[in-house]
Amino acid sequence: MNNDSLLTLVMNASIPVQLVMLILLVASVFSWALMYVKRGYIRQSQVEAKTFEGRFWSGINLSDLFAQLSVRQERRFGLEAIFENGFREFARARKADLNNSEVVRSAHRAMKVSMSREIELLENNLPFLATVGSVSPYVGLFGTVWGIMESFRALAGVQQATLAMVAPGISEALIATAMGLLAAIPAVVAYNKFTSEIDAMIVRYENFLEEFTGILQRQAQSPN
Amino acid sequence: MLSVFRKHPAALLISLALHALIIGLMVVNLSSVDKLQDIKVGPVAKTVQAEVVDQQQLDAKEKQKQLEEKRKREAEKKKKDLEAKKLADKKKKEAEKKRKDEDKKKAELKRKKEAEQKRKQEAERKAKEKRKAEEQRKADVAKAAEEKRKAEEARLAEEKRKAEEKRKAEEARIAEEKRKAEEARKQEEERKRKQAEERRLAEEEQKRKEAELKAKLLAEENQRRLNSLQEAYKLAIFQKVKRNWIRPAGSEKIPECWVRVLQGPGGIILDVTFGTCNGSTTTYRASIENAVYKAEPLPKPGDPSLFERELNFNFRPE
Repeated sequence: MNNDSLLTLVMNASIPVQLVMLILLVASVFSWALMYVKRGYIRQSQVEAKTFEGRFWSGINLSDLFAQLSVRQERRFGLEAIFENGFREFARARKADLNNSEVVRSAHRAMKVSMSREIELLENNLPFLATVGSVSPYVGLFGTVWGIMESFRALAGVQQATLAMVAPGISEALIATAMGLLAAIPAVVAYNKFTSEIDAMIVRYENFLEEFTGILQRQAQSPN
Repeated sequence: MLSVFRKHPAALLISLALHALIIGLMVVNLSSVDKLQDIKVGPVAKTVQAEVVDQQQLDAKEKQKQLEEKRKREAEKKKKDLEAKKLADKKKKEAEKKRKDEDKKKAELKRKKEAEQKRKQEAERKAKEKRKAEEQRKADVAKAAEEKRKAEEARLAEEKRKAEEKRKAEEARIAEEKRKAEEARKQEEERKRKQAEERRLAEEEQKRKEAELKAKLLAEENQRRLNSLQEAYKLAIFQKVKRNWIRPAGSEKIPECWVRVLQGPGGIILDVTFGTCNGSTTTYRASIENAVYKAEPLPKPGDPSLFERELNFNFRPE
């Protein structure tokens, strides 16, 4: 019994415990893959926000900036999307001859909608990580409890009970808990990191939105 | 969630590889730990067996009776053994005789077999010699025929080759003549083309020079316009600031101040700082700063490319 490797331990486990282990393995694989994708997207958004803010405050003419953005083929996201939607709405409302406060308000509304869409994209799929992080220890514990139950049941049939009879069964069962924790810890860490980063991004978007609204207000008041 | 992985299949692959690696490492690690444990484990403790001692005693009479019976049984046993031994000897002798007869028969059979084999081998050898002679004869005939055929073929091939050579020589002559004619024609064409090319190049050069001159003039004109526009832009900003300036009460001497203004898109003020500003009071500087903020939004330049994020100007009230 002593020269067993981890693999034979897993193979010897009973069917429900093996099932639990399989579920945990799949959950772990998916959560790591999701982490990879999510990290890439958030990093991309941060870089985009930084470069766009740099361009916006460099003193470039706003309609020039808008024209440059509109010409580009690829999908716009993050601050670019917010700016583009806001400015387009501003120009449209101005043509419609609304009064100044109406113009600014409609642009502000358009930017709000665009911002909530961006936030939704950022937060997409995060609940899966939270679920894996909170549930997989329990799933692993279930596997362990089941395995220990089995080994105690087997113990009931014999006269002379020794520790050597239960130890392998319990050791098998404990692998399930280990796997549950192994799946949960990275998921929780990643979830916390991502939520804090996304919160920072939301604050950044909101700040930009307010600043840009202020600029639009001034432009609406000045003639032309 | 699956749509995300459909879009990024690489992420799933990377994750799978990571897990495979970790599991592999664990398997290797654990098996090495197990080996260590093997050495440490000692012999398993043996269970203790309890013995029950019979304390009953036998009667002296009964004991003697038992002894008597035992002796009787032993005598009987000896008699039986003797009989059994006699029987076994008889059987052994019979078996020996049978075995000898069998050996004789076997030797006879073997001799017969060997004679048969020898005869067969002889027959085979003769057949082989005959076959060989036949083959040799056939090969000779075939060889002669082959040689004849080859000689015929060689003759034919020679004739054909000669004819071919003649034809080729003729063709080569014709081709050479053609090539020479072609070359001459090409040279003529080349010469003509070169002349045309030279003419065209000269014309292009002329045109390019004219275009350059025009572009230069245009650029100069444009630059002059921009310069004047820039001056006008700076002046407009300065004038607007000055218009909004209110002279602070009780200040006799009004020094000159270098003011640096940072502006954002749409002419909004981001920051105002002061450079050299000799002999000025705080109130005076505050009045200038107020004037700058009142002048917001700052006037736009005549051309959008002239927008300056950072403005420096010398503030002189008079």
